[in-house]
Amino acid sequence: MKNTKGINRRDFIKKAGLIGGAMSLAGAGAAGLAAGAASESYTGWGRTAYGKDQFFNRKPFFTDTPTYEKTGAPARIPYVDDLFNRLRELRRLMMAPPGQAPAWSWEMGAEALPEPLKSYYADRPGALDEYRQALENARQQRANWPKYRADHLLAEAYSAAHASFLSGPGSFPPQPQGPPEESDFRGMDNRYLELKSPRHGSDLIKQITHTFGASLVGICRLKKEWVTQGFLRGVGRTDFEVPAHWNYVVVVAAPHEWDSMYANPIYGNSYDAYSKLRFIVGKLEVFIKKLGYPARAQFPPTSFDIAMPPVAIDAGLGEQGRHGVLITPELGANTRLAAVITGMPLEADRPINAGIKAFCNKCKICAEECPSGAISFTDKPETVVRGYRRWAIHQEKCYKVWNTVATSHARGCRVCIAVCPYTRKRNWVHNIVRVADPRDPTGLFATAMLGMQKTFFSYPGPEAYLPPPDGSNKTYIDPPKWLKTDEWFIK
Amino acid sequence: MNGLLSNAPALMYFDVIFGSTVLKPLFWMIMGGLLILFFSGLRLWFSDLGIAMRWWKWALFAAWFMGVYVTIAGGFTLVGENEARAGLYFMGVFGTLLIILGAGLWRILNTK
Ligand code: SF4
Ligand code: SF4
Repeated sequence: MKNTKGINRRDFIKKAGLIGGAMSLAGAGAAGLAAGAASESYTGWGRTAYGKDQFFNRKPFFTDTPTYEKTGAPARIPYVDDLFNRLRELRRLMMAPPGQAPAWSWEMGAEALPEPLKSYYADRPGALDEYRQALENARQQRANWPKYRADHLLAEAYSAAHASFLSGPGSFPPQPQGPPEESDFRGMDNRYLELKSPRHGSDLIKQITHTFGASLVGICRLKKEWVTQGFLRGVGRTDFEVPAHWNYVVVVAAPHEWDSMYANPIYGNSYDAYSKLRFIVGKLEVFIKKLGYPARAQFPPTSFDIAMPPVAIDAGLGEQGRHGVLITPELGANTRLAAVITGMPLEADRPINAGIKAFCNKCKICAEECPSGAISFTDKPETVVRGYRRWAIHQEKCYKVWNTVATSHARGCRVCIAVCPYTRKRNWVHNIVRVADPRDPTGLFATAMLGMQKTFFSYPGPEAYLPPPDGSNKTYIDPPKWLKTDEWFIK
Repeated sequence: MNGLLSNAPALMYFDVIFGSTVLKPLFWMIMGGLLILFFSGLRLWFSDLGIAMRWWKWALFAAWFMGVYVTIAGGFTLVGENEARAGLYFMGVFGTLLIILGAGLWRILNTK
């Protein structure tokens, strides 16, 4: 049938069909572009309050054997195993009281250090020299800063704003004062009502913690071997028994803001997640005490009496990655942790094995990109730490890079977090991988994904993140507009 | 909208559609309409080209077209999350594969 313009109906449908096909493909591209850039894909920055960011179904991956590998007798954690505790002790020894000689100086060597530092460094030859080099680098970093300040003014201001709660009268939560048997009970109300069951307790605490801003919440029983020894917050240097009311740990995770995190090492900062976490666990401590149970918040950067990655593994949040950081299915390595230890009766979650540790054995991207060489390249974890075989980074080497990159002072690097293939936002492409990869018993899917990761994605290379002459101040991904100083200021 | 779109303000208009609970489903309804139009036209193209379509040929074609669709959507998703290189490689590699598969499919469609 011809119409008035001479186009028959059949031809019209044929042509319109082609146009429709082309438009639907263009629509697919547009929808993809929008999905990639959508605010709602920024896990932890939109849907958290209702628990919607804990979207991974862990049930099929519950395991009775956590993915840390037990090889011997576990032991409590000497407090100097933590880099910051170690550095604090060294600084204390090197600071002479007025009119007195310092208790220790570099010239005296590692053998002259008091215990437990002496044993720590004796077991790790070269680590002390790396720290000394870090201090040298810090001097150079400060000298370089005027050159980079105009470029990175916003990143510094952003970091400083997030860090502003760390100390001083506005700091929150307050540090414990006195032994846990007092401080964990201070401010606690009398128990007014009994919980229906530990399960009700867990569900309630999780819901409340999500509304406080936690992207992920898990609960575990506290194993003694995850508690530090030799130093107790609120008391000081002391050897102590694990308090009887330290029964459960509510483990909380929140991510860094995604765009600044991908622009590490210069534009990201640790404090955005830290400030969130501190407010979450500080409020949770108060909430639990008001219900009549003791509680003790554990929060970054250094206010911990327990080791966080293993308790997060016990609580089923994820597995430890080659870079030493916890990897969760939702947030990847963009997972920062805090916790509340409590005597409230709760029901513990179970650890998961979603194939993350196995993937790390093959991947090695973080080790290839690490500007300090702190991450192991071995095919499997080889370091045995207090009875567990696990990935362990060279902390002093890592710290040296913090003191080298183009920031005003040592405020971290986090390149390993940014480049990790698990560190992906929440959109349909990555969700397919999240669902399919851990369910593939053959491992072929993981191999294909890793192949694509290494060929499709570009990585600057380890030196590129350093300032000239060694590198070119690269970031993993370019910073977002809102952190680019020259978008807003006349240079 | 963040990431790439924070650096390209014009693209923020996407949010008008994809950030709206009303316009987003409307977008997919229009996409569905376009696909119906496409397949209606295609039926006529095949018949005019003398290609005898059977159900299994339609199924093969739909699977291939779905591959094209997902490749484009996936590639642009990566572009949208500031991984432009990965997105282009994704489309390049899977696009090439789909062209090769498409040539094979064309031969199959032409069989009786
Ligand atoms: S980058 Fe690769 S090896 Fe490193 S932690 Fe992530 S998945 Fe594991
Ligand atoms: S923070 Fe930087 S230097 Fe430290 S382990 Fe990660 S990539 Fe290496």
